[in-house]
Amino acid sequence: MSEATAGVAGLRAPEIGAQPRNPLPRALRPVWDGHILIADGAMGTLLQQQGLPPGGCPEVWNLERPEVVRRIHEAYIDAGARLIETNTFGATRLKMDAYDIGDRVAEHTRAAVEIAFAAAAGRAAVAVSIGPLGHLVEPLGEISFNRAQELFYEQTSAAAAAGATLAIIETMLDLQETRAAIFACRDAGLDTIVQLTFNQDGRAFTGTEPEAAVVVLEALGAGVIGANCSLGPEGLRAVVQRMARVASVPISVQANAGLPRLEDGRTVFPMGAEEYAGWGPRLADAGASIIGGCCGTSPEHTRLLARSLQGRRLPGLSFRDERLPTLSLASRMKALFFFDENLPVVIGERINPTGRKLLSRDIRTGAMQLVRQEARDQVAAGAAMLDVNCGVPSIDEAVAMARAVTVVQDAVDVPLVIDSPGPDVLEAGMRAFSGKALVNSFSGEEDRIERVLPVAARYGAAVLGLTLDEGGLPQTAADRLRIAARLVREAERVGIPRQDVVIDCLCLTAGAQQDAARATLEGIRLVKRELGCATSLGISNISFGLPERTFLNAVFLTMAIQAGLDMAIVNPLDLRLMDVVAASRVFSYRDIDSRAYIQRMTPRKLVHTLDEAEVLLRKAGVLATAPAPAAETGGDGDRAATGGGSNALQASTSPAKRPTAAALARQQAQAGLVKQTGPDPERIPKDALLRKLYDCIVEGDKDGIQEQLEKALGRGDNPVVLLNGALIVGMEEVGRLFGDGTYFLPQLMLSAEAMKRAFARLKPELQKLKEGQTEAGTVVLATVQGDIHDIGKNICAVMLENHGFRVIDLGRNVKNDLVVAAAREQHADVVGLSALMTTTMPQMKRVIEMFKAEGMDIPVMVGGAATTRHFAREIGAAGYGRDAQEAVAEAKRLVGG
Amino acid sequence: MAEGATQALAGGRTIPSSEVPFERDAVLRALGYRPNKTRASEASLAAVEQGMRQAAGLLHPLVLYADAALQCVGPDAMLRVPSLDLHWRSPALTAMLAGAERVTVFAGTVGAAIGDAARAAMQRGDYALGVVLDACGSAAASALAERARHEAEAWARARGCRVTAPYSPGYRDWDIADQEPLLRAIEARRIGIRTSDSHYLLPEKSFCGIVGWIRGLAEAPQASGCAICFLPGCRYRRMPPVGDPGTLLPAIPGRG
Repeated sequence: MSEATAGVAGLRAPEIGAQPRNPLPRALRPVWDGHILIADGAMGTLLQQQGLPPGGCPEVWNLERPEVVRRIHEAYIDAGARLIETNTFGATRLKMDAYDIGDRVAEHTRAAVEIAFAAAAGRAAVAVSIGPLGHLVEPLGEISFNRAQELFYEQTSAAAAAGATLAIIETMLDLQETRAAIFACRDAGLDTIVQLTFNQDGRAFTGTEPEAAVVVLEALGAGVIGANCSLGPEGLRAVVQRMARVASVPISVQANAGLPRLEDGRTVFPMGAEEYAGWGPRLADAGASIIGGCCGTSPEHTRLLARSLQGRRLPGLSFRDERLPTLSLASRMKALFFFDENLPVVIGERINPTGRKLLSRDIRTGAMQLVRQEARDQVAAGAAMLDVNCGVPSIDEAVAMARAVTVVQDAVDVPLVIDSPGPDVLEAGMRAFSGKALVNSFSGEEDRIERVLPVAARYGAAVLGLTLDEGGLPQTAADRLRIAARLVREAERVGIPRQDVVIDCLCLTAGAQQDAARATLEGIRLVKRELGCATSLGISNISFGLPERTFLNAVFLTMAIQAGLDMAIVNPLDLRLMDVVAASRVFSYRDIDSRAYIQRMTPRKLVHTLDEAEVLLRKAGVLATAPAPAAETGGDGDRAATGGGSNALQASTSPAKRPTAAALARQQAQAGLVKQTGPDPERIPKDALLRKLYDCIVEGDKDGIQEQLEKALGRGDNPVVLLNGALIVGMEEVGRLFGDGTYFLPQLMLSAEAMKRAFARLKPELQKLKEGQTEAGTVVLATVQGDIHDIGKNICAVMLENHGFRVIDLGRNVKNDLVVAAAREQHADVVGLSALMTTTMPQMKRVIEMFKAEGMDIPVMVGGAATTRHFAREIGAAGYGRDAQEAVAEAKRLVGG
Repeated sequence: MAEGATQALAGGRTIPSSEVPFERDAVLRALGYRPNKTRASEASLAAVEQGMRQAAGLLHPLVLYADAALQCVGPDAMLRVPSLDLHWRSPALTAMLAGAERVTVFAGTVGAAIGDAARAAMQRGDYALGVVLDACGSAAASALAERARHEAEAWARARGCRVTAPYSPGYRDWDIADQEPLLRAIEARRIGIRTSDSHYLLPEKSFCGIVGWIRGLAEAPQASGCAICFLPGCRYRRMPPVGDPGTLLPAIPGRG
């Protein structure tokens, strides 16, 4: 043990997570003898066999035909089931309202519990079945989280009052609804088995992957986690496997008897009892500890299943990834495990209104548009988590936090860090977040410990602990370790396991306290070594007041990573910092074969992105006279100067603010860097809506253009004006940008796709006006006889169509006489011929000669890799196009346009 | 590039597809991207990435080689490869192979799927994807050809020889119709390569050619590729043009 840790001897705790995080549900302990536990199967279909009419309410029979329900329970127990479920799957108010018995939830639930206990008679455990509400919870549906919890509590409290101690929350589609059900169970004192239903893509209905489900549900205290219904045993086996790999609690599975099909209007489950039972050992092999049935199964399925699993021992944690337990977080969709290969994790810091006027306004008004954009930008830049802080003065921060979390988790699928000094704000954020969050933060101050930790524990969140206490900021690394040890103890006291405690050794300003930087780094080393906790650090404070902050931040981050830092709260739009992270992953052998690093760096060798272009233009002074960013960003620039990294691009990385490629080109032209040869700026539409249409074409925005087009048509614009005044002008600008190399081929094609979509919408409107004659002319196109390369010709066809030509594309390897015949039949105004190599170029001359021989005066233009203007002249062609854009210009010239 | 497409072929050697890197730079170049000039939008770069991902599953690289002794006979310097029943009459080729004792004949393809997919994308209106897929095919074929040259060079070096620049029918005065006997000699049909009536290689993204072996290791590599091509205005040029303009045409397909 090092000298620095002498005062905290005995803190080493390598026993992290040696036991499953959550205890086995009380009700299961008497019936679970170390072997696979058999659960029962379907209830509804058996009730129907006993006379319940299709569509009838199964729960009604708890009161009207209790003896039938009891016999079914007994049949399952006799067949070998040691876990049975009450007949309460739909016993929640919204579902029972459909039968006008919504006010009798408690009565039916109590009856069902009593029937099940009577049937079990100590031979089997009883679990209260809780199914979905039938309506999705916010933000996916209209029921608020609080209302959902109330609805579930109505059921769970009645069940608990009747003596139940265990609930099985099953067939759940959505993690947020599942969370509400779990809270309702916990409030009623019920242990939980939680089962989601999965689609064929291996995700729950609302996108949750099995690993994410485990991370979230385990953190919320589920004693057993699993899957039911959905795919049948074959399809659920993979889900079970994925869950078992990351879970510390037993895994359960209750599959349908195969995938259902409709026969004569009835739902039929095709899998017989014997076949179903054959899947039992395979599900056990996949890691299931509790195996039962769902829709379409019967006591016979249970009997054979029990027989197939007789004597089969529980798998325990033998399927589990040996690197667990470790810190794990999750969004609604995905889990993030802090395995070594995933480190260091970048937490995006930019959703923080401090010093950012526009973002403050966005949060204050509840618009959250910038919040959403910041979330997307940061994740696109490589952030694996996002910090969300809504600290705007004089607002209801809890409401803002809930709204921001909802917006962010809708926009991206990374885990969130809920960041606020207010415990009520933290709770609002955790409540709104469907995943497992990291709470930022608590500290050694008594008030923070008492107010933050219990809330975090209730929501199953991990916690970020700052190494400071009533004594203020720690001076030494040992001080940091001492406080960290206390933070871990306090967290464990309220049930937050050590792996869910993240320690922040506090990054102070090197300009003011130079020795503190070393203490921070040493503190990280000590905490990692002595406590085994994950560590986090907000980096940008280190450089405050010093020049070249981005550089200093990057160096300090490198040193912190070397010291063992697991996650850093930084500005992911700071390229230098992100490069450091990528490079560190290479040298720490986390990025195997440097694949991620190479992928990150390779495009930048060549690709001149808009951001890089802007940097270059700023350096060149070209953008110095551009509209001042402050006008758009308010105080956002201050943020870059005072913290959160000092990337010069910070204030302009949002697409909403980012200058378009066309705008950059125009700025270049205005600065004299590029010769302006395009259309007169006066031709660019002045009308705002027409300008948007024009921009959609220039930017290749095929989705946006439809919306703008509908708006324009909706206000009564003449489609001819739209076509000629915005769309064609836009295509001409695109052609100019392509011609001078500002655009490359995919941009030309994206604009063509936008134009095609717009033209398809305008065409019927033009026909209504009987102005179909807006066609510029007819062009017959072909790749010549013997030539099978047609990509260039295809591009020409697209571009010609987008400029209003009627194009008859004859394809490739077209015989010469067919070209002549088609030109005649289609009354072609121009014929275009393409050839790749010298071997087929002579065909062009032959076609021209055939036209002459036939006495047809149709101009022929040629193009292709090996052709030249000189060659075109030699063979008597009327026009030549080096590329598609030139082909359009030539065609227009030839038809006199 | 797709794995597992190569297979051992009697009489030649193959290159594993995993050893043929599929370079983004080459794709961008084929798409007309101009460094320090082009300002690529995010959407266009996304289209490139999407196309490259799709292309990776559509490329099925295969290469064939055969090594044989070379003879230069007769007053008009006819070149003969007796064991492969090949003979060529091309002063330019003879000059290129001056001093060579052996040649490696090679042919390669990345398969037909990439061209078909590009065409299908264009037909359904996914123009950007179509052009990217086509460019991917060209870039992959170029990379495969380059890899084939390296492989031949390594093979020769191990036997104490250096190699000439690669050369193909259609270059300068070498008749493009000589592709057929060259392909026939190494049984290129085994990997699906054939020619059309107008001497196009099929599948489109294919190549064939030779390198000569010269006894002794070279002090400096011979010029090849863009260094010996003078096509005016070629947007695929990788280096500034040098020397006098000639009549050379690009041999690797990619535009039509």
